[in-house]
Amino acid sequence: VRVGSVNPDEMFGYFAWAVEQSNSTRPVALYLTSPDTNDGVAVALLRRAIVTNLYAAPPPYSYEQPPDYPATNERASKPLTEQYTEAIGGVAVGLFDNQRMQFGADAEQSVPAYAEDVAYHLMLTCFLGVLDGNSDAFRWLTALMVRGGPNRQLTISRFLGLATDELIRPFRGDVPDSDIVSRWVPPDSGTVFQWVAAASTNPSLESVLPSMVVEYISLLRNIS
Amino acid sequence: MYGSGEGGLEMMPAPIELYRGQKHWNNNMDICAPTLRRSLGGQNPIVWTDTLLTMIDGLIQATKLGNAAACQQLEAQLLYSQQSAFQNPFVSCSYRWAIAQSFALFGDTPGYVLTINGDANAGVDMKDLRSSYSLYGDAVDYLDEFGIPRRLAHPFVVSQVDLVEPFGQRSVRVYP
Repeated sequence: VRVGSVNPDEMFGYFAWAVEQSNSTRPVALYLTSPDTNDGVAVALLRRAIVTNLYAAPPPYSYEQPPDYPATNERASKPLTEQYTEAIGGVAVGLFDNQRMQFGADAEQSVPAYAEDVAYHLMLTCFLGVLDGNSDAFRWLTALMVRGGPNRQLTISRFLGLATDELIRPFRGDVPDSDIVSRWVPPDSGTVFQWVAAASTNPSLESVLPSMVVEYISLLRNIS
Repeated sequence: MYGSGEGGLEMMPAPIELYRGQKHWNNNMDICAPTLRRSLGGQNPIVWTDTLLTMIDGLIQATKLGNAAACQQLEAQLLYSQQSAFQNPFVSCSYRWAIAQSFALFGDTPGYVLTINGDANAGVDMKDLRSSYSLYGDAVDYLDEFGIPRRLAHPFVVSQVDLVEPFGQRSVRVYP
């Protein structure tokens, strides 16, 4: 996350962290380091990584209806959302419906460590999704926040606070981001569920991904 | 490693006071790193913990010598460790009582805040490491975390334990 360390903007730090460390976008991070990187191509690659890791695979190839790129057999693996749901032994719909019962569930010993690994990469991918204005990524982040231990809750709540300030102005009054982060402690459960309630109202997000990619490329060239 | 290797045994102890929040506590409890309690797949937890500690120590030493690739990997590993229990070979403590208390009260149920005394040279100060080498630390950097490798043992000792309750109730000293 060398570029994230150079730019003091916290939101940009999350962007750099996600691009460089998420399994789903690591090839894009490599592409970004090449001298002839095209920012439009980089944005398209990032969007593909976000979409293919949030949503279920398209139906198998048929001659009548050619698939959108990438075809099923070109996927390295299932979407991260599906991997995570399988790892915690639940179904996706339940993740969003019974959240009070799932508070901190991923920190329990009964949840396999593999789930944590998937959750980490899904969280990073969702950061990029939210930066691209994807409200499903926002919802997934709230689910990951609810189920996470204190560290994950702190990280996601901080990110959502920043994202909300910049992107979801109508919810600014409803989301107590500055209260949480000024104390610099993981949020309590009441705060976490306030966030979930705010997210369930389908906030309209704007994409800042292209401008962050441009900035990232420019910073990277200045460093090297 | 961490007090036994280069610059370790010869160094004078640097006394520190740390706090740690946890849900359960008893006087004979083995307080150990998450990797000793939770491993990925079928690894031997002791071997896995030692592997991670060796790797992180190597990265720290190489970073101190100015190795840029090691610095980058250390940055990523610290972030990963603080988000994933199976990647964290440290008993996590904080320099701040408030942080430990919020961990103890996680989920709005009572918990314990341990006051721990020990030697700063025998563990890893995450925040200091990050600020010394300009490593990105997202929000978890504000936890003021200090990592005790493997388990809470010499030179670290629990000097006080308080039972804390949610919703502003008074804490109760349970040890000593």
